[in-house]
Amino acid sequence: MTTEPGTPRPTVERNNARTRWLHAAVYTTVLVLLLTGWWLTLGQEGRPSPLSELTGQSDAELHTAIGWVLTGVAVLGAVAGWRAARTLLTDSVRFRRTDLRWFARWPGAVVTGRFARHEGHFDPGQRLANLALIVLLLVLIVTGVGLWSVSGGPAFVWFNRLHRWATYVFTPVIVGHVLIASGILPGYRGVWRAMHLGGRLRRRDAQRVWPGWLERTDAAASAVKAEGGDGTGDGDEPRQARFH
Amino acid sequence: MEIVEPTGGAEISVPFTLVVDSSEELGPTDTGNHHVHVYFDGDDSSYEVIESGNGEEHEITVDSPAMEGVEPGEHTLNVSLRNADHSAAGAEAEVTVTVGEEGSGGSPSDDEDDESEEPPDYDY
Ligand code: HEM
Ligand code: HEM
Repeated sequence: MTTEPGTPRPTVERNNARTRWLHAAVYTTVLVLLLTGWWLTLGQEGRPSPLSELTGQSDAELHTAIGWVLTGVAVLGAVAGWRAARTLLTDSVRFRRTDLRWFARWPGAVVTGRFARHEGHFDPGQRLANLALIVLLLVLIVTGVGLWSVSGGPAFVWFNRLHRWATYVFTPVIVGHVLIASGILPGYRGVWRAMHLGGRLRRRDAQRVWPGWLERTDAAASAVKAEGGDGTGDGDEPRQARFH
Repeated sequence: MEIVEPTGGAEISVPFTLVVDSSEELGPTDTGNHHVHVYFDGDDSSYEVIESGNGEEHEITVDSPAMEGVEPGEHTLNVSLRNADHSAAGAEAEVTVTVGEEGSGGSPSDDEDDESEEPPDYDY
C-alpha cells in the first residue's frame, strides 16, 4: 500500500471476514426459520412450503433441524468470537444524552442523509436494534430448544407462546434491519458493503453514518503507520483505538 | 393408534372419510396435545393434520396435502401420532387401500359435490 497521508483509500474496512461469515450464517439460518416458522403458525403444516419441496423435508423437521444449526452457530460465535460479541454488547448499551438529537433528526435523515452526529461504533438506532435482536434471538433459541426438549404438555404451551410472541416482535425488527442495511433508503446508501464482499464501504458513506468511528479508525491507522506498519488495518485493529 | 375407517383392502374414492382412534387426546400445537399426521405410502413430507376428534369422522378431500401425487391404484394409508412439536410419538398405523379413479365414482354418492373451491378443512 502506498497510501500517502492525506489521501486515504476511498474505502474503509468496517467488518472483518470472520464477522461477515458469522453474520451470513446467522441470517441464512434465521431466514429459513422465519419462513418455516411463519408457515407453521399460519396453519400450513403438512403442506410443503417451496423450501420443504426443495429439500424433501417437512417444514416442521426443517425448522427444528435449522434451529439446531442456528443454536450451534450462536454458541460457536459467542465462544470463538467472545471478544467481538462483548464489543457488540458493550457498544450497544452505551447511550448518551446527545443521542436524543440523533433520534429526533432520524426520520428526515433517513431520506436526506443528514444524520445528527453520534460518537458510537453503531448509530443509536442500530444500538437499539442490536439489543432487541440479541435478546429476541436468545429467547427464540432458548424456547425453541425448550419446545424440542419437552415435545408437548403444559410446559410446551408456555414455550410455544413465548416462541410465537418473540417471533411477532422479531419479524418487524428484522424487516427494519434489512430495509436499512440493504441501502434502499437514501440516507443509508452504500452501508450494505460494510457486511458483504470485502466488508469495505466508501469513506463518504462511513462519514455520514458512523463519523466518530471513522475518525477513530483513521487515527488508529495513522498511528500504526507512524510505527512503520502498512496501515491497512487488518480487521480488529482499529478497535483498539475505541473511545471509552 | 388405529385406523377405524377406511378398513384394510377397502376401495376409496376421494373425498373419503377417515376415522382414527388413539390413546391420546388430540389438539392443535398450542394446546400442547398430540396430533395426527395422515399421509400415503410412507411419504411424511406432505400430510393432512388431524388435531381433534378421536374416533370422529374427518373428510379427506382432493385438496388435502396428503393426496398430493397419489394416483389411482393400491396405496398404503399411514397415520402417525405426533407430539405437539411434530416429532413422532411412536404410535403408528397403516392400512392398504385402493384409491379409485378421480371422478369415476368408485363408490356411490360422491359425484357432484366436489366443492374443490372450499379451503382445506383445518378448524383453527
Ligand atoms: C429466528 C429464530 C426462530 C424463529 C423466528 C422461529 C419461529 C417459529 C414459529 C413461528 C413457530 C411456529 C409456532 C406455532 O405456531 O406453533 C416455531 C415452531 C418451532 N420452533 Fe422455532 N423459531 C426460531 C428458532 C428456533 C430454534 C433455534 C429452535 C430450536 C432448536 C426452534 C424450534 C422450534 C420447534 C421445535 C417448533 C415446533 C413446535 C411448534 O410448532 O410450536 N425454533 N418456530
Ligand atoms: C435475518 C437475520 C439478520 C440478523 C439477525 C442480523 C443481525 C445483524 C447484527 C446484530 C448486526 C450488527 C450491527 C447492526 O445492527 O448493524 C448486523 C449488521 C449488518 N447487517 Fe445484518 N442481520 C440479519 C440480516 C441481514 C441481511 C439480510 C442483510 C442484507 C442487507 C444485512 C446487512 C447488514 C449490514 C450491512 C450490517 C453492517 C452494519 C454495520 O457495520 O454496522 N443483515 N446484522
